[in-house]
Amino acid sequence: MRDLRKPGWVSIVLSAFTFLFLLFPLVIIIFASFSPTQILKFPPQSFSLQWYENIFTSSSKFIQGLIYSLEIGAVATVVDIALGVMACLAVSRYTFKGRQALTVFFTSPMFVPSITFGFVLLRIFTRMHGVSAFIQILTGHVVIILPYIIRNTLAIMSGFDWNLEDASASLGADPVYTFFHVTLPLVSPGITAGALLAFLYSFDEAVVARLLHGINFNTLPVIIMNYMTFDFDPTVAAISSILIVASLLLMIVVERVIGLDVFLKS
Amino acid sequence: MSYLEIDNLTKQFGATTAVDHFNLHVEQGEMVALLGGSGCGKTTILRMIAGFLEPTEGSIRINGRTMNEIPPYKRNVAIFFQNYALFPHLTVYNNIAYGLKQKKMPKAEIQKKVADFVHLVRLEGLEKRYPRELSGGQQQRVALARALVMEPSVLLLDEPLSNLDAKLRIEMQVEIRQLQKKLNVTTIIVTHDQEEAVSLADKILVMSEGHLLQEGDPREVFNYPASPFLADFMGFTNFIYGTLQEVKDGKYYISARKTGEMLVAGGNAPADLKTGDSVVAAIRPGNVAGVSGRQDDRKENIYTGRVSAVTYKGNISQVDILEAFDTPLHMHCADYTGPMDGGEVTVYLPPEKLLIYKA
Ligand SMILES: Nc1ncnc2c1ncn2[C@@H]1O[C@H](COP(=O)(O)OP(=O)(O)OP(=O)(O)O)[C@@H](O)[C@H]1O
Ligand SMILES: [Mg+2]
Repeated sequence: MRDLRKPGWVSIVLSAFTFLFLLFPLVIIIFASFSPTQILKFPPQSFSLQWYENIFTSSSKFIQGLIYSLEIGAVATVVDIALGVMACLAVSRYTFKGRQALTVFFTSPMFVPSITFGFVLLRIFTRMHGVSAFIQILTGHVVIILPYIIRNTLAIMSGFDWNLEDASASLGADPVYTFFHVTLPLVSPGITAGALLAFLYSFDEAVVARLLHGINFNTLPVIIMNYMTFDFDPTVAAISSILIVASLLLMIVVERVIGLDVFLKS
Repeated sequence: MSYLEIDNLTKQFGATTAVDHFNLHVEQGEMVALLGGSGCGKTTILRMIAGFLEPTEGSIRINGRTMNEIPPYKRNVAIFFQNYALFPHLTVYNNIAYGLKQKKMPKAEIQKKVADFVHLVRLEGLEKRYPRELSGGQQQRVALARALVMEPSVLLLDEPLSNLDAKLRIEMQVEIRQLQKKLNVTTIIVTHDQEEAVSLADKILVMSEGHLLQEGDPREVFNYPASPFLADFMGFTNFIYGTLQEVKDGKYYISARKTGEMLVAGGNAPADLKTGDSVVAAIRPGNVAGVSGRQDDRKENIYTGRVSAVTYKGNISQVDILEAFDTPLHMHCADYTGPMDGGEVTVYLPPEKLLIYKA
């Protein structure tokens, strides 16, 4: 009899293809970032760090853009964790009319094209005058990334045993103590997973950030897009390589702290 | 004034009434057992006392204070949940210590108390385990310790021993009873096991479909259930229908269609029974006696029927007897050596073990 736990050859081949398909572009990018010439040559003739240098010296202010992106991503994620967790608690703890509709509403930004949404925001903010680009983009991102936190948090809360909150209360704990000692520790893997996806989405988001940008306020993806319009050298590959390594490190930390399977569960 | 007073307590879930004008007064330090079939509203009552559910109607008072507006965490009511509700992210030790830590009790004191209760529920050595690493019975004992350690003013136990083997169950019954007496804590225990209720409680309540059917001293409820329904619930599972022929010297003579004449001592007989009334007599299978040979000193309540089945049930055998009875009469014997299927058997129904009700 066949051992059911061993993967068959079909799944092995499929997995190998998927893996290569995902990995191949990354390898090319990393190779390209060390290219000594402006035009990519493969296989590379020699090795150079000039494009990495260019990140810091270029007039395109990549580093400033990176800082803006991190700021927007971090603030939007923190705001959305607060909003999202409260919203999820409301829809999963209580049963009330229109609960289903509310859940759909919370996740609806996922189904609206960013360009449409960005355009609407642009119209509103042009009329309002004097709202800084930071606040404009932040507002956009707070809305766009909320669904990621909501979906992940809801997924874990739907399996949460609300009796545990009652048990805590019967042992004398007030709702705040209960939230921090029972509810939060048990749902935090979902919140963390959602927050990470949300942050990465914001960090990567170019459409809304491009539409609402200020003269001196461009996030990293916008700067990269602008840069590529005029220059097509491996500087972008160098930036990408750094981001790939950073993401990898982030994943390792997440894996160590909460385990990566939280992404698969939700 | 009683310590715990529940008046007219009613809970409706949409169209279904889970608890219907339920009344209960419990004295301080008293232990009350709540019995009743599945879905009759026992857990719902406990959840309302603990404060997790708002009553549709009625009031709950503890020590004279109306509880309706008081949140659960201020009630000092500890509850053992039917499904345990252990904190999955905390070890056995931290589950039991949760309430004490929350109260900001000094650490040394917590350690000592937790150790005492770990010992009490026989869980030594398992303090560092997580709930998922325990058996069902072990989890049940952690939940029990977690509730008991709080030394609450009211303790609610929702089937706390259902998952334990017979030996451990008896041990835990003794521990619960001793601790309950020592702490003098007003306790309500829900159980499906009448014998557990009788041996533990000062008072027994039997309910059905949200109503209270009978309330009283354990012996009284156990020996003299108030209705045929309760009799059935309390293990008087043999019913014989007939007509009341005569009442003489406090004894009741019944005539049953197949069974014939029957004498009932009538310790529980309703006062208004009259000759000619339709009645039903009830007896526990364990009180039906097999008769071997002739015993001329006993004239009444001797019946001969035919064995329809013999079922071995561990420490007893159940013998089903037909022909002399409308429905098979069950007899429980410690070691049955009489005739098997189809054989003739003679039984004696002791008049003082028979109950009589209006049919
Ligand atoms: N949240 C709820 N919503 C709707 N109906 C409910 C709810 N909780 C309980 N019920 C209903 O109320 C009735 C009483 O339930 P309860 O849990 O109190 O029964 P129980 O006596 O504890 O039963 P068991 O012995 O099986 O634990 C049941 O018919 C149940 O279906
Ligand atoms: Mg129940």
